[in-house]
Amino acid sequence: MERELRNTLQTLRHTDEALQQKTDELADFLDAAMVGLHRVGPDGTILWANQAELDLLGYRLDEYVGRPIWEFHADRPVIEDILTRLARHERIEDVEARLRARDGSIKHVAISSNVFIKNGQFAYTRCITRDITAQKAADHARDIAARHSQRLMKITAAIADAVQREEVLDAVVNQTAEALGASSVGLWLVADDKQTATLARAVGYQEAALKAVRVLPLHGTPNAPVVDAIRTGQPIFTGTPEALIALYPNLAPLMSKGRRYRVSCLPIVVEGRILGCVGFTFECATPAEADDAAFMMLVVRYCGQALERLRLLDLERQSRARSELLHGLAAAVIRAKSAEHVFEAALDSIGEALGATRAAVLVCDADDVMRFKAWRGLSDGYRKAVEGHSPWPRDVRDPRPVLIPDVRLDPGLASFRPLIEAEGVRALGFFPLVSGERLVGKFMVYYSKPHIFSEPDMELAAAIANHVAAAVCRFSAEADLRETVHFNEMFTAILGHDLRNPLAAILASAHVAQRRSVNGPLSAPLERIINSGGRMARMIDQLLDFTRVRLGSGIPLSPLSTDVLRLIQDVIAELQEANPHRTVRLKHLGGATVGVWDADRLSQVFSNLVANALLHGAADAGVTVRVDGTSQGQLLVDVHNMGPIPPELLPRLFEPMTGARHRGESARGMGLGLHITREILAAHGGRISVHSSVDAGTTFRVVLPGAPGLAT
Amino acid sequence: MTVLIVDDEPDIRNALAEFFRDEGLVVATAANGAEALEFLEKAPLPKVVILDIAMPVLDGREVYERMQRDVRLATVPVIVSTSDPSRAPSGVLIMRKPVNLTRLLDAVRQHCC
Repeated sequence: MERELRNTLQTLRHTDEALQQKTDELADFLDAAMVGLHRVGPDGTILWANQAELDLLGYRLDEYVGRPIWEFHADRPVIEDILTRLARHERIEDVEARLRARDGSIKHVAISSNVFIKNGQFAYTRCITRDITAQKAADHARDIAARHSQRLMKITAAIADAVQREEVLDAVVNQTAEALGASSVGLWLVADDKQTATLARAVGYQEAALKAVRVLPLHGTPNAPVVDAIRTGQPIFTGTPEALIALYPNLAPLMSKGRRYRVSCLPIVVEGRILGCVGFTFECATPAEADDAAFMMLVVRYCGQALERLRLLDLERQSRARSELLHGLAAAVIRAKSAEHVFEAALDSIGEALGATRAAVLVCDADDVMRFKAWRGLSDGYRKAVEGHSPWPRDVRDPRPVLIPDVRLDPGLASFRPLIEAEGVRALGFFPLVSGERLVGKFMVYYSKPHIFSEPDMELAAAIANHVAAAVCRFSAEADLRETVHFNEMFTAILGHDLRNPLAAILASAHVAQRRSVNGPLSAPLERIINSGGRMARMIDQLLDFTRVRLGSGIPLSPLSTDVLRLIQDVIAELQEANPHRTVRLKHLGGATVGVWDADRLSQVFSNLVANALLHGAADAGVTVRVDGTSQGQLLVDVHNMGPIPPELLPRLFEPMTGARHRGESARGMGLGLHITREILAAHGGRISVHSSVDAGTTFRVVLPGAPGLAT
Repeated sequence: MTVLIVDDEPDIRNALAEFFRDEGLVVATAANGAEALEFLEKAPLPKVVILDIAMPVLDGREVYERMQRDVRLATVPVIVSTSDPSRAPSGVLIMRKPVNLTRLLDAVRQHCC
């Protein structure tokens, strides 16, 4: 019995020892586990925590255990929610929470827990605290990187899509400042003359600083990182104010004490050309991150490409606009009915092309003195004072434009300066109008501020000057020609009138003499005098009629009641007498033939048509004249012969000087007969037409419109 | 039976005068408008007046207008013989110089016979 009891006790001791060992091992396992573990009582007091938990937060055991769990949570609602759910015996898994470490830092953790229930009561919680701080930091960094990347993509896309300069500047300056967290960003562009860089866009600058950096001279002192970046084409990064002052001591007085910042200046370079610079300022002393620097350089590179693209687009637009402008001017010059119209069109073009609201066109007069022909925005007094002045000598060959970018700086205009300045002119340009190397005038442009004339402006001005010069010469030549023609026509008309009287005396005397010596020895010579005199009279008539038509006064009519049939009978009788071996038949097809017409002129018409028919028709076929008064409201007269007219002559048969003379044949007249015939009929409101073929011969049809007395 | 020829050109005036005299007509002449009006006021009225337009002292147009304003003279037929028909008065027979004498004679005979 005793022995059995001893054995049992021995067994129990072994069992207890084994149990204790297991318990120690478990305690050690829990205490030394790599994951944080703790227990919390029903009242929220921490009952136990392992070393990993203490290590996670940096507390000693006595600082942690025995304290309420919510004291270590940064977010009270989170732990309250966890405790509430555990109180409902819920199981929670990986609930994220933020814990305060002993050093004040925040640890991100994921908590999993459930409740140990003893005798149906909440005994304590079994909590696992997993440190996810590194993971959260990595997630955060990834989010930042992603947002950063999105912003960068947005900026580069905005730069790439920009079609306006302002859009590029906005993307490069405003959006980049926001993306990189820069306190200020400025973008300077180098001026055309390469002497200065001008601030095109800025954000974050104080007003006083803006004034100081708006225009930076690129040569001489004082120096600045923006200027250096432009001069050298190399980026400049300064990590601290001290580093900046070391490089640019002249900036020291401008710096705020105690302010920590760094500056990055990146030149905008395109195909070796430096367009400008972008300057960034960051309000912290930490060095620039490599990514930020790379990004800035990328943005500036895109900026350069975009500005260059826009410059080329602008050039193309300007080129197109200039082309349209010149096209418009050329069209206006062609349409212009006078030189004044050309000058007005030129002033429009000059104003648009050169951006000048004031301009003038002057043309050399007969004495080679420049006279104002058209102007805008110039006072009478100014014009009067400068008229006649020219920057070129009168006998200059191939003169070049003279440009005065700033009147105050030009010694050549010293004597005119008070006058020019009183007119409010600060810059002006003289552009010569040249024709065949000869100076024929000039056009002027005036500006109220100093003005740089660009190469494209000069080219455009030269093109405008060419158009105007050509027009000036054209209108001058036309005026000379008109004067000559008018003189000639007046001369012809006067001469014609004056020739008539002696010719009339000759013919009348010859008639008298002929009648007194019928069949006498003088009969034949007198006949020749009368015939030739008659021809000369007809030629004078034609010459005068032609001159009248050319002068625009038309054929004068003296309409009286006239019987065309009788008139034609007289014409035929007269021609028949002169051509006794030819046959001229007259057919009246019916109807009235009386109207109010100019009998003398109609005699001229039919005499011309029948004489032509006799002259050009076949000798044996005769001539037929048909008078038809049966048509409603009009009288038709056809004159027909069998002589065909060459087809190529028909379209211009009624034009002056188209007949035998034009064909190189010997001419009995001046080739004006049919032209004047047409004009006489037109003066009556009538018309003439011709149909001709080898088979049917030639028929001239005269249509006279109805008139009082003509049966309808 | 008188034909009054008014023309400042003596050769024309004389040639026409001879022509009509040869045709058996009585002819009177005037070297300008003033002479013509003087003749018309003093002498018996002619059967017809052949009137030039461009003349010194008083031109043919003025002569014609004065004749039209005078009841007695307005009945006398006028034939205008001119080198510039555009200056002739309207409503009158116009013959352009050099005048076709056959047609002129026909016209004169219409008034004289």
